Amino acid sequence: MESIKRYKFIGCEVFYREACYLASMSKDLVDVEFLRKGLHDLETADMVARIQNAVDLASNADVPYDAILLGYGRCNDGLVDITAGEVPLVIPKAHDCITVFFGSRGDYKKHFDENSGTYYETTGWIERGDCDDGSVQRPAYGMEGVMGKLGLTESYEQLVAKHGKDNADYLVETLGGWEQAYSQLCYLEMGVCDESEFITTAKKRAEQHGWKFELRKGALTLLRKLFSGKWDDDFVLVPPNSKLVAKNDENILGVEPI
Amino acid sequence: MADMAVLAETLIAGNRDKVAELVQEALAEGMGPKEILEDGLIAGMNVIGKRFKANEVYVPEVLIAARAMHAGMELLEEKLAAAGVKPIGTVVLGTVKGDLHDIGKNLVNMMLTGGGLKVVDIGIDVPAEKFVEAAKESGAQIVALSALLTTTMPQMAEAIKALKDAGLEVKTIIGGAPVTQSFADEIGADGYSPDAASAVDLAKELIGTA
Repeated sequence: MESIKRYKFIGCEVFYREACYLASMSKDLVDVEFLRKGLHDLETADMVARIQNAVDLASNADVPYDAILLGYGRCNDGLVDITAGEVPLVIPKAHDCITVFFGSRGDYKKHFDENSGTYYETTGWIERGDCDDGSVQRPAYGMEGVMGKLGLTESYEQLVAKHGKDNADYLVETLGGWEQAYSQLCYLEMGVCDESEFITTAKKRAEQHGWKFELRKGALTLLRKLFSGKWDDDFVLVPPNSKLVAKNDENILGVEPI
Repeated sequence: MADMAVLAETLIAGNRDKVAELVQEALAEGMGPKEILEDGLIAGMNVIGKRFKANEVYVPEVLIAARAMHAGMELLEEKLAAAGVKPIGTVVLGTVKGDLHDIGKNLVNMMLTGGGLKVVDIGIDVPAEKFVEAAKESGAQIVALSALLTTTMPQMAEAIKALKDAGLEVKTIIGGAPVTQSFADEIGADGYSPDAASAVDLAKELIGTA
């Protein structure tokens, strides 16, 4: 067992099923840790701080890891400035989790460019609702998040109490229309479990909004490579005493010494 | 005589019926539309902008104040045009191609309108050529681009390039959650605004009316 590597996966819980599957199948030892979905709803600095904290704890583990695998993308720059301690970090070159579910930057970009107005879903997106009360219309982290800080998490009743019915109706009409801008829901089937219930849920959601429904095979390519140490050009490796930086080109993310 | 401070306060409170009533009264008393606009409506929106920037009020308060301003503007528009009062500048505003987010863009619209600028809002998911078209048609001095996704940020560069290629002498300003000053520098935008309220000062500065 000497050749076995020890990895720590720290990722968004949107990858829960896929990451657990790959960890269980790995020839190496992979500990998995998930942070709550929706960190991108926080102010960028708050998201960075939470991930850095998890990275720092893993870097100082009693039995050292060979690498920390980050289950994130650029995620609205919530990963930018994340710094490696003693243990190197590895992260896919991805804008967000949808890139990872597509399995390649190129495939996601092609679909995104050709299908403007698409809302993407997977098991994680469906079963890990955005907020505590299960309502997907209200974002995670309530008042802590950007939406909360902008005053966009109040219920209709709260708006009526504050601004009167006429204004509350206007606010709901003005702010609640984001679904109307979308025209398609694409469910990405990742193939690690029976997804029939998830697909039914996604189809219903598309129907409710009058969106076209697309069922598409996702790909574990990027996650597989991440978990198996095959960190090719699709990944950024952050050696000790270096940090992740944003790249506004096809690389999406890069690395710089600190 | 109609009290413009009361009109501003009424707008800040988001009472649109009362705003319309006060504008009507002021006009009936013979007050000039420019004075009502500047000392009442714009003055009120300025306060909202400052409070929003200072996190003293939030998006809902801005929206209902802007709605109240609109109610007043409807009564003033014809009279302003008749009196030859022109907006201090025109801004074409849109969210770039592939991006469907509009809350930020709408806030910028409200703040710019509240600051006395004419805004031509061309919506979301706007391709580069539409920005060019709208800038030509409106004779805008500024084109403002919004993006909320790192996936769509490159479209800002496309739009700026298209405007330059078309030979238009417009200034470009950009904003949105992942957008930064360094990105603005990288793609040759003339300005970057970290929030909706600051976009007003930036636009005025670029037009030369600050």
